[in-house]
Amino acid sequence: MQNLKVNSVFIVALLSLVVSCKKNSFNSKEDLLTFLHNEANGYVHHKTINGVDFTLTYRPIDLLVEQELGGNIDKSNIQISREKYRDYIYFNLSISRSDQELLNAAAENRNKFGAMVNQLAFGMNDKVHLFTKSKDTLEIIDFVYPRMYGMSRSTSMMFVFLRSEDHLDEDYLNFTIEDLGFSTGEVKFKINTKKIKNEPTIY
Amino acid sequence: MNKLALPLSIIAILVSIFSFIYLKSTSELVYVDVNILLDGYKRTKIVRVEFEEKANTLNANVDSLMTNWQNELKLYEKDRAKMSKKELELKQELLRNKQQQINNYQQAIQKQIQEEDQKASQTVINDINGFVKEYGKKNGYKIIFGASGNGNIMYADETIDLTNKILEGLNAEFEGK
Repeated sequence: MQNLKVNSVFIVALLSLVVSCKKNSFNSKEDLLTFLHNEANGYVHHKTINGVDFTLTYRPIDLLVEQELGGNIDKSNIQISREKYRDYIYFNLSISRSDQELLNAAAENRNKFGAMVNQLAFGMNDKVHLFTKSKDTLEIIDFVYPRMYGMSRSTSMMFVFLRSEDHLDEDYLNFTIEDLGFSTGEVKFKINTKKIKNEPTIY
Repeated sequence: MNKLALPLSIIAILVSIFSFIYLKSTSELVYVDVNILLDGYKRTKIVRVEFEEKANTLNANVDSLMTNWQNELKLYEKDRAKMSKKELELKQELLRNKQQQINNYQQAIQKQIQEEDQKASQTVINDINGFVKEYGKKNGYKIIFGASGNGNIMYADETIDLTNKILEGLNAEFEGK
């Protein structure tokens, strides 16, 4: 009888350990997004400098898979799609001033507006950097800046970096954004690599 | 049942000790000297040198335009006796316009230098703020004051001065250690 009690305590302890180590998995995109947007979970980072708000969100692979597959979900499709996206790291960066897109905030004159459009559409790869604690840079592959023509409350972009497991073995990655002309200086976010390694999934 | 009581109480004691040591948040009031952090942070020097180089290049452009204009003015003064009234008027107008353009350019350059200065300082401040915030969270401090020598902290005991620890960590992080 005594042995049975000890065994049950052990099994409960083991189960709780297994549950706590389990990857975060969600049934829907909405649940995953709710989890991601909770700052305590470590996937979203905020900073406000000189009235400019920066929000950096890690974008898990399954969000891209979900976007690609839509309703066409079966195990083989998911696997194929994951394979396609897993060589890269994705971040969403939102920047706003006074709850407005940067272009609206910078539209002091035609020249400044034009320069900012050019910067956002073609030059952000020179302004954003991802590097390790020991200053190894992760190559930026691409970035996407969708024009919202003032209909959004922030300027949002997605950045794609080459994923390297060696770099992810370090404690954290530095994500930096150089000054875009708003006197913010260089803004840095520290990304815990464990969060990327154990990224949340949907399926 | 009695046999279980002893191990359970030992576990309870261990858990309380663990929580006391690891989960306590220190309510100690601590401070850092912001000026020392700014001066001692290794990135400050690098950023300042970069800024000086940029500012010197920009100022050199203005200086060379000014020198050209002064040379033209000297030439005009030398040749003015030989010039007709019409030529004098035209040359004066030309010199005035040029001077105005150089003044505008100089103002634009001064503005640009100020912006570059602001960028450089803000970059260093961002780094320090970010590190202090992270240090405070990691070590369970509820508040870290920043003394900047203008009277916001008039006296504080040296034992609650975190400046050196923070500076050490800040520089280590900057150097990728």
